[in-house]
Amino acid sequence: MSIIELKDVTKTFNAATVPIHAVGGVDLTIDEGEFAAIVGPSGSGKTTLLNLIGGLDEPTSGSIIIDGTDITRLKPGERTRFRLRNIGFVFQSYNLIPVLTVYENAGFIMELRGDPAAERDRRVRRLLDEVGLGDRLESRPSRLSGGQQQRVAVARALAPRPRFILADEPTANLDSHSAENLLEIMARLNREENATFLFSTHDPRVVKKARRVITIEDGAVASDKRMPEERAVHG
Amino acid sequence: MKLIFRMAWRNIWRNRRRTIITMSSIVCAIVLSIIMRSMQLGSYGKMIDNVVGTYTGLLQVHARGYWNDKTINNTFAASDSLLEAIAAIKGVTVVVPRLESFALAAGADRSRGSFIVGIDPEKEHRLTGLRKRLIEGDYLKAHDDGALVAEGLAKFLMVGVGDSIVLLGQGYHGVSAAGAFRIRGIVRFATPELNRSFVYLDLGAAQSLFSADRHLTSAVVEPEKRAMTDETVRTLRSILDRETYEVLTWRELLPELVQQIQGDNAGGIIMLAILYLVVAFGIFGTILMMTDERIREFGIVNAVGLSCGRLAVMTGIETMLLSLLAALSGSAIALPVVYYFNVHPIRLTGEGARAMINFGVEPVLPFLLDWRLFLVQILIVVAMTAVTMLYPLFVLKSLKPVSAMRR
Repeated sequence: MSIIELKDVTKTFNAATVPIHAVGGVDLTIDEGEFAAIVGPSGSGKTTLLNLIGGLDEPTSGSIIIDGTDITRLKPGERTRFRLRNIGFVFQSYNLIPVLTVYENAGFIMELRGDPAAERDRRVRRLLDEVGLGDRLESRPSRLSGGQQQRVAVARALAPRPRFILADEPTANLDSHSAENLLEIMARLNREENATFLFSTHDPRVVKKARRVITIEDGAVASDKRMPEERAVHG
Repeated sequence: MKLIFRMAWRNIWRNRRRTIITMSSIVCAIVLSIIMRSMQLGSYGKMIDNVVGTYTGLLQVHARGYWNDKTINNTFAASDSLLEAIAAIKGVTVVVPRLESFALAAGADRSRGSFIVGIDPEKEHRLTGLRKRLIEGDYLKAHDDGALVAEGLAKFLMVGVGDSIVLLGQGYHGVSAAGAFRIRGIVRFATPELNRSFVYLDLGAAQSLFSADRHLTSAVVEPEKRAMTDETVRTLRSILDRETYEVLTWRELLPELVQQIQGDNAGGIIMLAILYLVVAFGIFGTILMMTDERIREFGIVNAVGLSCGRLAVMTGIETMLLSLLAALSGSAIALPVVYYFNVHPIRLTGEGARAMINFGVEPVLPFLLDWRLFLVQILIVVAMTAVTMLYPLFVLKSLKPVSAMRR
């Protein structure tokens, strides 16, 4: 069952001299439980596409349907609420909230949504245990390594059980050990919780783990390959 | 909301040094302004009490038109029931009857135009402390047929206690007024104008002199506190016939004093405005930095689902908490200082003090202790903060998560 559906999506940036066509006529469908990577060279439009799917940016034309809702028709405030209810984000630069502890960061979205405190507590503790940070609940992000911060970001994204998780270059700032570790965690959560992951990445390690690889070139889908099931499980 | 409040509180302390510097500037402004205003308003209060307490009183009842045309013909018949009705008003401590007019005062060889005041000696003393001004002789008794003469006038007329002065003038409705009065005592006024012209008679003697039996030019009404003046005026105006009587407050009786206070007060307010303007720029600088350095963070939290409205609430709470904490701390620091100087007013010394004593004013600078003074300063800070809060609101209104996260 598809949860993301892009129909002829374009995005044009009006630069000072000539318009830049970052995304041109993309049609794409992502199914529930997928572990998909969007790959392509720098400037190919990966991040723009991810921003459009996440409702962080508006397309110039086309429609983006998430779970039956065309998010291009939503007002900015409605889109923010939609993101809160449906989408988890993992950013390249971790982007944790510096004034909140690991525990509070991981539970941030659930608390914003007004999820019951007991349920939030159980979920956050379990996820932080799973990402190996169960003993760092009261630490502030500044006391953690990059890999640890990204694991908190993954826990934050997963905690409210969103419809899918968008991860923009999640391993770009990590050393290889941390990157491998993070990918293992995300792959496991994808399997165990049937969480849908959509990455944009350059990282071959991520590509290797993905069950579907969508290649973007010049803002258009150049190829869309589904990999054998075992890849994501065994790497 | 708990989360928003928690984040706001912690955000304040993210840059501890900057927050402390900003708060310190607000604390200093609050302490300075409270102390300055307290001293200024306290001194006005003292000035009013001194001037009002010397003669005028807080409010007076006259026959309609008397204040604009002060003649003996503009008197009113003061029945006991009228004076009793005024005295019965809640908060009125004393009603002091007076009959005032001008007459020529003459000694053995010299004469001078004088201001004759017929009084009830005891009530007059309660209002103005006239007995304390006595420097020679005795104070008037009830139904006394003698006179109290101001020191300057007595010197000019070359008369003393036991001598007689002759008063010659015009009485009620053109009747001639003439009488001789034995001088019971000499009184001293700090104000030269009063000191060279005042003659006090018993009210009955004055009414007899001016052929104005039971008539008064004014009834001075003294409420318990100055703050009760307006309330008492309202009551008086409601019970007195507006066609027959006029009720004037000290503000209408002493417009020069009011203007002097207003002029000085305006100067103080301008000083405070400058002080607060400087502090407002300090607060704005902090808000500007707190906002601009966190635009990326705003983009992130907005991306994950924190609405711009809730972000605006958070920045608003941060700014208000910072300002309110500083304003309350400043008030807490100023309170004991103001309290101390309210209880132990600053005593002036030297030339300034001597000048004040000569004017019959106690040479002290009392501080005003009034919760409204504190509240006003806190509200000024809150209002300034509310204005500076517009900047983050403006930024958040146009926040685009993608471009914010690129910063």
